[in-house]
Amino acid sequence: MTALAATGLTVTATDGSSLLDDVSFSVDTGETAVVCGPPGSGKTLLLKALKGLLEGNPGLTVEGEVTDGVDVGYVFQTPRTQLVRKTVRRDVAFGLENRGVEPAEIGSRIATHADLLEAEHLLDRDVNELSGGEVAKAALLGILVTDPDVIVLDEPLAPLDYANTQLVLEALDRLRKAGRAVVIAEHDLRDLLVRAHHVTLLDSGSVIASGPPRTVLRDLIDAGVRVPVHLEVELGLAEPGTEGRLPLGPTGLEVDGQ
Amino acid sequence: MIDVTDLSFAYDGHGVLADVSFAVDRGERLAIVGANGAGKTTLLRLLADLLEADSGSVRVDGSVGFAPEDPQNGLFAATVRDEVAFFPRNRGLAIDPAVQNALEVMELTVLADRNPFTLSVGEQRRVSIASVLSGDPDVLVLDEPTTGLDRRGSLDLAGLLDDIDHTIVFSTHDTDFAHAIADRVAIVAGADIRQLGPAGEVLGDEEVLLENGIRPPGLVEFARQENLDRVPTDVDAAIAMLRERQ
Repeated sequence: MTALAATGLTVTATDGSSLLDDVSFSVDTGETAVVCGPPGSGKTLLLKALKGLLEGNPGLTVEGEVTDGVDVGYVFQTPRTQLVRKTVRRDVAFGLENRGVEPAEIGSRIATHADLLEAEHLLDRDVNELSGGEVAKAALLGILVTDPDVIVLDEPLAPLDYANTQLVLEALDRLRKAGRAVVIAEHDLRDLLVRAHHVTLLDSGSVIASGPPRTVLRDLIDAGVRVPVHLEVELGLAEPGTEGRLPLGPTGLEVDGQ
Repeated sequence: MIDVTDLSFAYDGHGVLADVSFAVDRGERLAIVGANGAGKTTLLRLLADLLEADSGSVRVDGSVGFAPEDPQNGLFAATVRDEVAFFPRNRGLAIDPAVQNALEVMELTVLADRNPFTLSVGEQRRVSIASVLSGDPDVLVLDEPTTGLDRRGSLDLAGLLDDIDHTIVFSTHDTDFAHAIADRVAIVAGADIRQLGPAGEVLGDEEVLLENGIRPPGLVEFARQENLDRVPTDVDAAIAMLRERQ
């Protein structure tokens, strides 16, 4: 079932330059969709359009359809901008208070998710004294506690170390398996490729490849997206024309028996 | 070029660095790696004189230019050219050669009249570094310079930085980038420098990297998975090594 979709999305700047050109995208419930492409290719614009953040922007003309009425949680590329309160605990509570969640429930949700993300030690820290990676974790925590239908994340992994990357990916897997949908824009697909059901590759505002990971692997490499070295090597060793049938590495590109 | 002696720093009682000492030679490229919250940014800000140490000292033989982790934090001008002209103008240096040179080095000439806030993060990153370079510092301190860049962008930036002869100290989670340009690598952990050595040696020790929450370079992981006797220099070399073995 489609959780969130954009159809024929075209975004034009006031000077007439085309920022997104007839982009269609969708993610099903229980699935992870990855958006990638070079810097400036339109990833962030697509993500913002999915969240409805482009509406009313005087500098942009937006055409096309985006599913409305979906509870979309959004983690910004610069997550520091979305922390508004003094401590992490108070900041994470902010979204829940706004939704009228009972204080006891707020406390228990924060405790549960902080435990899963191993972020308890951050809860009483001043948000202004957190490192870049800690800010990213705090911002994600603030969205996870609201349990959105779809979580949209703009390059969430870049500021994270390896251990925290694994914790965040596990948290997103849990969300997905609980029937939510995950949309991630990212440059480094070394961990994401085996988790993605669908990959959309953008360049200069247009979709240049779209499909399950194995079908777009060559396009991703050609576009400068980082994939696991073993996949790149196996693709390099394969006879031309046989890439689609590759037994792609130790983990393969299978997702939940797909 | 840089001498750090017994450096300590805490945020409101939350200790970040304790008695850290190390030195960097002129022209050297030192990568600082470590887990989130280990103190990488704090250390860089102390080097750039943007924070005051609780105790200990940082001695730099020359001037330092600092490019922050979020490049937008350093941007304020209406055009890329004005942004890059800020430091030389402020310091009374000749603007034309300094700005033109920095724009060329960071391959920004075609973007010179654009508003920096309308650029992509990768482009903003290059503006941020160019605006530091134009002030002609002796040392470049770069906080996570590849965040927001794709692999091509990281390789391009590595190439651009390789072409200049500045002393460079940078923090990163991108060990492939560190592998490409660093002479030495320091692992920051437990409020101290846990390890400091030649890049190939430190980044080749998967066990120590993983212990400290750091992802090993892709080619190092690959060499272990495939039981190769040495780490290939790039993917083409890896392909050649496997062909040879088949």
